[in-house]
Amino acid sequence: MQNSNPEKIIATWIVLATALVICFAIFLTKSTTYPLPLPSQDVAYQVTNPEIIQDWMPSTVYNQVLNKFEIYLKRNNITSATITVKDNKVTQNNKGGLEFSFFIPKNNKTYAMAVNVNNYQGVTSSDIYINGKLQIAAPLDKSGETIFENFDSLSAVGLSSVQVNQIQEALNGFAQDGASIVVNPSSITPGKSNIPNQFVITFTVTIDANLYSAKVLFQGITDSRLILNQDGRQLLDTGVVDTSVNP
Amino acid sequence: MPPTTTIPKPNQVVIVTVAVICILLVFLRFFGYGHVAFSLPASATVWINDHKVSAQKIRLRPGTYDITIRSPRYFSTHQKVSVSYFQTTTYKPDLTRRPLSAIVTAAMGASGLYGKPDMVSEQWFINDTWLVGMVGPGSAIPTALHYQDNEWRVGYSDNGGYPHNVTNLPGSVANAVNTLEKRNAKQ
Repeated sequence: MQNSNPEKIIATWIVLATALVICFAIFLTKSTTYPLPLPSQDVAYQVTNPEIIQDWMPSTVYNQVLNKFEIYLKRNNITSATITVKDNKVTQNNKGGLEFSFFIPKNNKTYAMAVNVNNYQGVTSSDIYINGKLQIAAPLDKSGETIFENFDSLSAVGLSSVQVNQIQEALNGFAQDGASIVVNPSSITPGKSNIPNQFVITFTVTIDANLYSAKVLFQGITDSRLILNQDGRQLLDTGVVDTSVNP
Repeated sequence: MPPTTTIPKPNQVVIVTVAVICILLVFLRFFGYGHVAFSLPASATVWINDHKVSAQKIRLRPGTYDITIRSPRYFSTHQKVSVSYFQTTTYKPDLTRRPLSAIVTAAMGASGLYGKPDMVSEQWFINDTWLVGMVGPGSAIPTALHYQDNEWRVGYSDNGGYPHNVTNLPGSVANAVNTLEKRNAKQ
């Protein structure tokens, strides 16, 4: 073929190239069905297969598990991560506790998770272990207010919010300002006393780095008596505090 | 004298090739799909890349998709599935039946005071979205569980703060609960 009219030839090439580009653009207008949702900029940690553990626990507990794990990651300087439930697998032990592993591809690490979901008269609370350690609040600096952790576990065994507040106030008075007061959920043991209609709950509480044994006695929903011991010595007895009598 | 460059004129072959490519691209744009056919229990729901779909057979662009199956009676599955042009993939995952203890665990929690929960005398209602039975351990009590928004919840129980008004339950569920309550009262 002769190159008789260069401008016409260039125009022909341009038409052909334009046609290809347009057709390719048309093709790309629907390159996928059901595109994956874009990762949210607000969420630093995302679980790729959450339904695997959601099948096993109430949604409130699932949120607690994620929250505790995120706090754990932040404390270990992992500020963002994609999290996978390893092998899509959850197992339940004889006592009903749940065990599974979280895997983070970014650092190629596996975290052994164990979750005990406690239920007392419809109120659930959870003990969450990561690599065998119960997740409780870390000691905080003394500049802030007193920090209370895991007191919802006491609600789960029958104490009313009024009684939980009474116990928090008593412990706050006992501890120094800015203390970290942590109820250890796995230690909570409810029972009945020798006095008719009186209930007893015993548990251990960590105030900063010190461990104490606590006993709460109560009959109704507005009264409580807290006794605090350490190494066999009684350090505190609030007597019966009844908000309905002394508001 | 500077060398001159000559631009070849596109011949018939080039023009036909471009035309064929264009037609092919446009054709694939409008007709280039594969299909995934689901072989699942009636109560299962399908999620593709986090989008809920309801059809038994679905048309998809070629590629790889995250497919999640959720069901009240089976554990969820999560798998990647590849779809090719003009091919139908039948998706039939190995679903594992949820033990009743796992369903009760999902709704009420599991351990702590009384150990692993379980259910006996179970009855299913309304496309497997309601489950009625006696929940233990300890003194088993009549309980109705409801599967809603991919989650098992307590719809009726005499235990503590749960709903315990049978009039709020669907008729068949309420009847089953009443029967269990009467049987429980006799014991």
